[in-house]
Amino acid sequence: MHLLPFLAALIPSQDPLFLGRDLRAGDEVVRTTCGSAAKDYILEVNGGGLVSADFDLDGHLDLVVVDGSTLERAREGKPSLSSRLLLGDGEGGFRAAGEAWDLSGGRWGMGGAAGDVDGDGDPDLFLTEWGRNRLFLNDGGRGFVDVSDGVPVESGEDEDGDDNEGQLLPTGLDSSRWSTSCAFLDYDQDGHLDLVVVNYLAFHLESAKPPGDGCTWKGHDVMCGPEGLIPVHDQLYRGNGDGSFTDVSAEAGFKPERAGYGLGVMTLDYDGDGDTDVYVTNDSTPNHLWENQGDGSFLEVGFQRGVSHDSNGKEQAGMGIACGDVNGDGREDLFVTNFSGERNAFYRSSRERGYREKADAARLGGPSIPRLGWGTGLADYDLDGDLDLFVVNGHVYPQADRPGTDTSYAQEDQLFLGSGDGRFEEQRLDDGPPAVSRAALHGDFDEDGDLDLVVIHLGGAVRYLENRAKRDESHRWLAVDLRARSSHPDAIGARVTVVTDAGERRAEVRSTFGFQAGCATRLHFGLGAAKEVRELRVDWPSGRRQILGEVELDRVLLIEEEVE
Amino acid sequence: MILGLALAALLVPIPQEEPPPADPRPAEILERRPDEWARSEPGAWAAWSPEQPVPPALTATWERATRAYAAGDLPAALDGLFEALAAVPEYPPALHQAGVIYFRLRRYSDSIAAFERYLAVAPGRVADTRALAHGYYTLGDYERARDHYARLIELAPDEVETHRGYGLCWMRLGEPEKALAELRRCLELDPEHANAAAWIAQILFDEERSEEALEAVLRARDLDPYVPRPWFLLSQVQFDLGRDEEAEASLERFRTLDRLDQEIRAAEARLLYDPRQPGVHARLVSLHRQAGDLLSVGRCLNRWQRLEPDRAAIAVAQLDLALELGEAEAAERLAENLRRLAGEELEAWVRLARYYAGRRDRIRQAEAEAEVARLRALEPR
Repeated sequence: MHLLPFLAALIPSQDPLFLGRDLRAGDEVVRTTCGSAAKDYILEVNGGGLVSADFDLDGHLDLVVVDGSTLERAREGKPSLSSRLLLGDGEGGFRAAGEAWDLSGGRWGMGGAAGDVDGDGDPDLFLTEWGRNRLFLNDGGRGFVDVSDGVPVESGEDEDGDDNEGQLLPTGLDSSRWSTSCAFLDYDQDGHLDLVVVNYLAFHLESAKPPGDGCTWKGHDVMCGPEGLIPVHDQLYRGNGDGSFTDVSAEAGFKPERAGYGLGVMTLDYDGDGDTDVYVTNDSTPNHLWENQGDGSFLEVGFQRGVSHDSNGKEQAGMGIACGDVNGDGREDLFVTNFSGERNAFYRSSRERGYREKADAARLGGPSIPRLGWGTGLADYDLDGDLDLFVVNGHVYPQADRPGTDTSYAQEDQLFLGSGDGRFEEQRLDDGPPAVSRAALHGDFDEDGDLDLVVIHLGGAVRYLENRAKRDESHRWLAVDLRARSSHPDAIGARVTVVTDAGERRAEVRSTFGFQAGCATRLHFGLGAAKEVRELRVDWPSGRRQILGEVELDRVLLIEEEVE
Repeated sequence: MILGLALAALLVPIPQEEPPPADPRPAEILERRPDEWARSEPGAWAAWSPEQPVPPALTATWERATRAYAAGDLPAALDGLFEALAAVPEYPPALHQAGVIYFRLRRYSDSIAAFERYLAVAPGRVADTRALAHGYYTLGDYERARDHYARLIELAPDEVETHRGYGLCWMRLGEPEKALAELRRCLELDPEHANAAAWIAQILFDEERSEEALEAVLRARDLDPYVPRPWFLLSQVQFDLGRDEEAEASLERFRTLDRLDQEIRAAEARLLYDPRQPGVHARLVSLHRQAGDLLSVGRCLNRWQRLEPDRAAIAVAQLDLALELGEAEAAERLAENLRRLAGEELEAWVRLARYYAGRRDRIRQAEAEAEVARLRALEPR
């Protein structure tokens, strides 16, 4: 227990909603590595990532655990420790996928996302790396094909009219920047998945400054960065529908005057105009809100909309992002995790298109100050009908345990239960000891109707947190899978509104879980004591609205887009 | 008014405070924690009052700690206090002073621990512990901060900073009207309290009362035009009101001031842990000058001069500042000081020659030019 007595006294001690255990592949505990325990370089700080989807098409959620590497391996030019696919059994258990799903290679894994890149009906996988990012196409639920070097052409003619079957079509994704988070979307609504890749900074191990070389924090020598290192521009790729992409960052205007140290990404239609906008959190530099102009271009409006800084005008550390309509105004609000000594930010939608930072009024600000937040999510975890929020925490500096830092290296993770009036009440997230947490995501892995969590612990076992929400007439739920027919089938950007006798709930389909995590596209609604769903509206990316009448509660509903 | 203050700061006799001791700072003191402090016998300090003299066993230590504190060497001062608390457990002034120093070092948990120990042995001294409420606030414990501010207000109803802290607690606790009432009370007590004006504007903006926020933020900006935050808020309010062109201009000014402010904060943080860094002092003078904040330029020059009282370059900068402010009398005294320090510094004599030429003091101009000629002749060809 590292927390200072003063901080420990702040943590409420109710029975936690989640029960934690080490994630296992069969009998084997799943671990990740991100450099050494000393954390001498910024490269060793972010931890690995997580991606969930039903890769083997058996109806159960699977999980990719993205692994990092060690300084020694990196210096010797050895590949990253192997990322792994774990196949879910629908009961909260996982087994290691076979060789057909091999994800070895890469340089130092960070995060990823899943999406049907080639439109063949199965989720493909994109992994971000310190080094070249990697793309894996899913072979009909039978395995991955690493196409990072190029997508095999099945049949056709090249520019000269020659048969090009068997040739490799470049993916267009071969950037070797340090990429952290990513998201699939269809920003131009052409039916092909596009991709946003968020990049952090230029880091070269050979020339990196060691700790103590002028880099201090609260009087202690610490690893250097991000200040003093060069931030790197993010990238927007337009999907060509065949597994290849074209970098359109410049032509789409997706390039700010000054690059930020990118860490997190979220897709959302913040202005409700029917196309997908992009929010990027940047470490120690202003966050960016990219407003989709509807003509294939983007405009950065983070400052104008009030989501670039804290309310004091200070850039924050910007890591994880959660998104959900907390105040029920039909527009999604944004929650951003930040550094210790800063408040996590809760950007609540205001009357116009802007936001107001309201973390304190929501009781989310104060409890975040001693902590350094990473992965976060907004959903109805206790199924009482109100959105809740989880935040996983852990410092970047092991020196946080030294005197006078007002924080600690290992930290408690937090659950904030929504009270329905826009405020939250803090609880411990799970029953485990403080840890150094990083990426996280949710999904109903045991298919019992509530959302479980998976959390990366830096340099340790990945944790699986089983949700123990009550299941009775006051804790109802509904999950929705969408299948679009006149836009990309994943329906990213579609919005679902569930109207019950107890009120309305809304959610938007997305493939990203904020920080170094990609989530399945299934939407989940906690409905509390609702007795019936009176109406379920789907606003498809195509612009069509589809309305369903009475819908049964406590089930997973698959909705296909109706096309005339 | 601001320029007048700058001048006043400039004219404070410089070498009144002793320069920091030349020994290396006792960095190991920063690795220690308040939980090391021994406990006194129960009731040992029940009869203590601030008027009591320092116990004889502590006189030398206490004096050393006090001198170090006055010189801005917080680690050395803390070192003395640890020694004092080891010799005389829970000596209340030492606990209190440790709370103050930890607060200034931004070690808020330690500051809270020190002040809570102080109140435990001297429960009647709540009025001395406003920094305790600030500490709770800074660490996000707004309920405890609010309650402590409330106790302080009962004891001293007209302390403006207490009302400010109390108001900010209400704001953080989601009670905007109570917050506004307290911050408006600040402005009643001190109509030039720029920070209170800025928070009023912030709350109005957060409540989507943008027209009122605009009026409040303009007042805050005018009260302290070198602080970046009001410019940030002004820009946001203007964007919200659709006044995009004005908003862009405010944003640009915010960016300039914020860049400087970030560097200023980083430099100040370095000085907290080691004030003996002339280069950092020089940089601070330059940064404040870039912002146009002459008041702060004057303050930083004075602080730098306490470290290097005989450095002619500082005296040159002080003379420049006095002239910039149009304060002839002060400039005359500063020129005298520069004459005393100029020695073999060519640039100092060049500046003096120019100054006396401007004053039409031909005798001193000639003296200065003679020194310039002599020093130039000594320069290698």
